[in-house]
Amino acid sequence: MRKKSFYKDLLRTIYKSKARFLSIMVIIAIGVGFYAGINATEPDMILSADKYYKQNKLSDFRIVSPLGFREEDILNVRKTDGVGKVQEGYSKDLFFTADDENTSVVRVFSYNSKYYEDGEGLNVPVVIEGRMPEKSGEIAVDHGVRISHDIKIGSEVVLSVPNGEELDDFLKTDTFVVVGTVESPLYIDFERGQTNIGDGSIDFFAYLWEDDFAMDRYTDLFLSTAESDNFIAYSDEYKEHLAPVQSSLEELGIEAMEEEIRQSEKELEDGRRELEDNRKKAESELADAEKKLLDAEKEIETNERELRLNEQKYTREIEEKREQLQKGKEELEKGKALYEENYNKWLEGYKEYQKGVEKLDSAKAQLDEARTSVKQLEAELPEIKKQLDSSMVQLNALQQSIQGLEGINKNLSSNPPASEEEYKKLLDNIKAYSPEAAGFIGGNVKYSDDNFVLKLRGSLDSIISNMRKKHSDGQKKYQEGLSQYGKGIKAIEEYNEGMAAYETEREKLKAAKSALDNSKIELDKAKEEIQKNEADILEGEKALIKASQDLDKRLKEGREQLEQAKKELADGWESYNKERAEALQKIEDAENEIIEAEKLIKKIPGEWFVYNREDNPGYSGYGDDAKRIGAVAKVFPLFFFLVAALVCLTTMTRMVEEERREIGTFKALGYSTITISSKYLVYALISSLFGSILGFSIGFKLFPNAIINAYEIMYNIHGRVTPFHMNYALISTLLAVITTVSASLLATLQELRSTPAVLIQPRAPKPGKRIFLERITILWNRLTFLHKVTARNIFRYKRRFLMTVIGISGCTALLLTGFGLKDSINDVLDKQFAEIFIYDGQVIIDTDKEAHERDVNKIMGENKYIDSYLQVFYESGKAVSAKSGRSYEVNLYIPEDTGLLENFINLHERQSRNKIELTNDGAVITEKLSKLLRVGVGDTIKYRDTNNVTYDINITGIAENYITHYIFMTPEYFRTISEKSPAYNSVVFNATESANIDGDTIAEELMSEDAVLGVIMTRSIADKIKDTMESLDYVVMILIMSAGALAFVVLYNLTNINITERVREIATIKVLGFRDREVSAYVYRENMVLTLIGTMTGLILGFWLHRYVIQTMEIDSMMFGQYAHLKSYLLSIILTLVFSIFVNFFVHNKLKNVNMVEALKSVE
Amino acid sequence: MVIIYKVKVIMSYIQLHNVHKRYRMGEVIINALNGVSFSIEKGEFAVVVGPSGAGKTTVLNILGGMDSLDEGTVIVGDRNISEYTDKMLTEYRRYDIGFVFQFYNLIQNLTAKENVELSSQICNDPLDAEEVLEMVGLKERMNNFPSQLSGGEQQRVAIARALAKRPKLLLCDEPTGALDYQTGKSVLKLLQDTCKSTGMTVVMITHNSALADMADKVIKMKNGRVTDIRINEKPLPVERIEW
Repeated sequence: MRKKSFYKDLLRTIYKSKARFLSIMVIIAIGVGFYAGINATEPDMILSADKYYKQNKLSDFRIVSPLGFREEDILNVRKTDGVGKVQEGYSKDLFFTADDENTSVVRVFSYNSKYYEDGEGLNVPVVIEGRMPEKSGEIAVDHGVRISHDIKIGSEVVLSVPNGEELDDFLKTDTFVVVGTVESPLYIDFERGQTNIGDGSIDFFAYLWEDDFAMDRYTDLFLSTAESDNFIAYSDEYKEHLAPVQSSLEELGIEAMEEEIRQSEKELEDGRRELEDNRKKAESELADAEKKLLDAEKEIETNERELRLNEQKYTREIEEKREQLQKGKEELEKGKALYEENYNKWLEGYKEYQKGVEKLDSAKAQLDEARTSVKQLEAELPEIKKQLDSSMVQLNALQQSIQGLEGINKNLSSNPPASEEEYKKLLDNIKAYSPEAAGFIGGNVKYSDDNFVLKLRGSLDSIISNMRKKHSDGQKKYQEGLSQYGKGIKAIEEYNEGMAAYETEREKLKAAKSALDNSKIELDKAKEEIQKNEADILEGEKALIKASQDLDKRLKEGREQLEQAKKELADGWESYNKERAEALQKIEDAENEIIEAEKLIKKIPGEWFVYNREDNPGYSGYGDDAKRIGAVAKVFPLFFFLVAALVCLTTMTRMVEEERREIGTFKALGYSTITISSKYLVYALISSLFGSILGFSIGFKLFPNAIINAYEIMYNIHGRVTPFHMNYALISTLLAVITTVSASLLATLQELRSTPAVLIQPRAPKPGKRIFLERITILWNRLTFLHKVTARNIFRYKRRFLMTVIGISGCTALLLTGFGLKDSINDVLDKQFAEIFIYDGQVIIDTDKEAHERDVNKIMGENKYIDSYLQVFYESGKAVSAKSGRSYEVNLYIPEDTGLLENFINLHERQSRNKIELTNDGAVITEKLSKLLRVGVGDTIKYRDTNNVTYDINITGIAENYITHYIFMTPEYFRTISEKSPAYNSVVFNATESANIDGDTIAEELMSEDAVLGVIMTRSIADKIKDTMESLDYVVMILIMSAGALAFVVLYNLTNINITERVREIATIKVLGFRDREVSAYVYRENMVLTLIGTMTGLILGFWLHRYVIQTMEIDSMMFGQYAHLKSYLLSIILTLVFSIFVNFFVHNKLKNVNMVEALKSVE
Repeated sequence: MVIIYKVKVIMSYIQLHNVHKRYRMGEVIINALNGVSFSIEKGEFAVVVGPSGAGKTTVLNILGGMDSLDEGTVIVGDRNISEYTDKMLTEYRRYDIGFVFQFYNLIQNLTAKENVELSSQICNDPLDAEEVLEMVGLKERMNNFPSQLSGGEQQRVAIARALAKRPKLLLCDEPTGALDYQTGKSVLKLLQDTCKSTGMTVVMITHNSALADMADKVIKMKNGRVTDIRINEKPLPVERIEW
């Protein structure tokens, strides 16, 4: 085994100096770890993001067509070379009103699970809670930070469109139930982009079920190229790969839009033609209507005239008729009088006749009276004669019956009936004379009766007496009747005489009567005529009245009709005018519409918006952040690494010097230079190599993980990829190894130049020298002796001085940079929300509401929590300058009352802190914007508002500001440049002292107002931003901790070297009786001075390093604090000193244990 | 008690009694001192002679409070330094001991005067640095750095540094080892003169037995033991010693 003892020596050396070996290893490990780790962070961030994008199939392009895509467009896109997957969708920016009435601006996307079923869908939403929409009426909302906490799963939300649009055009329903919260690879950071509704910025995104969209054309196409999976996001290869696809898509877009615009223009032409036709039609219709109306007018006039004529005519006719009637009446009166006269004459004649008739009648009556008795007489006389004759007969018969019954009676007295039979024969005999007597006797006298013959005789006697009386009465009556009969014949003769006289008289009267009757007929005729005439006249009068009435009625009617006609005409005119106006208005509207459409067509971008990933703020922001870390990695760790390498170099040099005698011995023994030096080279190699391996093994995991973890707060990129980076491993290892090895090589070679004899001798101590300070006697003499010693010692070892100062200053600089970064980041919040935006909150007013509903004086003025407020116009737009080329998103801010602005926003110049006044000559822009646009006071920038109108703005001031960019101007200046008045859509306010601005009370109370769209409390915004900035805080913490670790190791190592180098000296003073503390102080004093010098140098170095890192790390939309705070300077100093003291504490023990005997003996 | 009293009465200024010192080198224990006993009276100029590895330096280091002992007692004056803690030893070194080394061990970054001052500043009643330097004949060179001085001059500065503290005991470890003959002689003379003129107790180590003649007491050592103690009734002045 050749050189066995050499390698033994090497191993023993390592073993003996394990502290040194380890310290080199650790320093190299920290340096390499930091360098490799931070450098690996950029690619690791990119790889992590790339993995996430690939997992969630982030589209390469999002194409938006201003008019939506036609079927053929989509087909064309699919056919485009290089295009892989194409996924259609809808999107629309809407107002989103949550349960708590808070309204935000949301971009809704369509979602349909069918796209994702085969795992091929693009931009896979990552469900954080709940689920994706599965049917109509469901919504999944952004899981992002800007979401109000009140949007819970299951709550109902309402989507609405700004005034002037119809929700129905876009969505089928307006109320949705939140079913989940999601993240999207399209939105990996908190920026949600711009829009043209609300305050111009989108608060968050959401997904709706595809069928809920009512639009007939897809608005968005998401697509990935066929080969995009083969490229790593953000890489140049990826960008190059996309470029041709992008340009062909853009060309396709231009063609499609040209066609669409042509189509639209054609439609517009058609519309114009139609309008022309309609106009003509309307005009002719109107003309017709006018003519009709004019005709009607004329007709009315004619009718009126006719009516007047008729009135006259009929009135005259009636008059004539009335006159005729009057004449008729007069004649009638005459006729009547004549008739009256004749009638009276007749009446007299008639009366005479009447008298004659009366006489006659009375004669007649007498006659008639007589005639009755006569006639009775005439009729009675034969009867009487007959009665007289029959009475003679009866009287004779009765005489016979009396004589017969008297004969029976005389017979009876002599011959009574001896038997019943005889009685019956008797009865029959009686019966022959008088049946009645027989009946009576038969009834009353029975043969059996006692005294029969007596009784029979009594009964016959009474009956014969009665019959005798009757015969005498009848005789008398016959005589009387015979006399009366004679009288009657005489009366009949007298009557016949009277009758003849009456007949004569009656003949006479009959003649008179006939004459009277004739005249009466004439009279009656006359009367009839008169009556007829009278009736006629009456009729005529009636007719006249009726006619007159009729006329009046007709005239009235006519007039009414005329009036009606006139009214109708007036109505006709009115409606004609109205319709005409309407028609004209319609035509004008249509014209305007066409002009508007023309304008719109002109405004229709002539291309599709082909957004690649770089246009996605989240994507590019993350890329920028990664690059920023990369940029920091270029300086910060290099610096770090340099310090580490320097310290290793010192250590190795020291080691070689310490082993001077061994080197000399080896050389004396005949070992070659290479062999001798190889010991140190191998030592350096092994230590730095192991250190490097340890460093990058840890560094590749530790730093990327820690930093990506920090960025995960800001970006929804899940899953870290921290692969091994051969390049950084090699570079850092090479650097480390080369530095240490070459340092040892140099040191060894330097030593080896001397002869072995010299080398074996202890190195001649470095001669003492007077230092410059001693020449300043006044000062020098004032120093105590030990201070002089220290001073001289410090300057004696220049290399040590330099190394220590550089090492310590490097650490201090790193610490200061770390703390400064923290300050810069914290400044953003502290200054922005405590010094610049001093208002407590901002209220977004719905300008679509009626003026009285959005009366700010009422909403704000009557709120007891509001101390003061100011209306502002607030809008997001873009700013660009001739020098910058790129446009930046800015907020235009116009206070209603410029004088009050200072109570809410403190505009001042950063360095001078001079207040900036808004003037009417121009606008004040914020500092970062001025830097980005490379403009200053007096320059002009262009501002493009949400409607893509561009204004030139003069800059009159540049104000300190940290978060986003602002342009402040007076309303007057706004009017000057835009020729319109700002529509104040926002109010900033300060709360009263008593109001709890942390609480939701103010916000809730304000939100209850209809016109309030949203309330943003400054405090809560600050808190949110703070949360997002914490990620940077972590990065900074990592820097600080690394710097601290380095500082500690460097100090320890340097002090260690310092002690070993001077161990003899220390032993000497210990022998002299210096107490432990004095010995330590002797060493410390130098250390402290060196540390202080290093610290001071480090502060200067740190100042610049901080500035450089800040400038590298800063993102476009944010300005970091430009300076580290005094506190950070102090902290860096203190920390360095603490490390130094800590190290000194270790050193103290080490010094205490310095073995004087050994130390002094070693020379022998 | 009586014995102690007796001991005390008969006690010399420096008394080593059965001093053992062992070094552990890995698994081997080396007995550097193997029961060393001797005494030196106040004001004596004692020389410890012996070959390399006899344990001379160890004795001197123990005597000077620079090293500890494993066994035995060391009494200097009325103090038992063998029981001293590190702190007490530091005080002992500070106020009572002056050291002169073979390689001078001057602080390179300090001038001759400053090197003297380095020690004089930490004790109570030092001699003036310039005076001491004058005493050692280096007044003219007092503002020179060690590198500007010759070996003898440097050693004189070292002696001056030791003397400035007015130590009760001056310990010299081969003070002439790195010096040429003449220079060595003059340094030795300085030491002898100082001892005589100030009554300071001086213990000097040397491997040069010729120098034994200049001492009041000669202690010979070998292999960690004292082989002989001889008192020179009439020590020779340095000038008369040849080697």
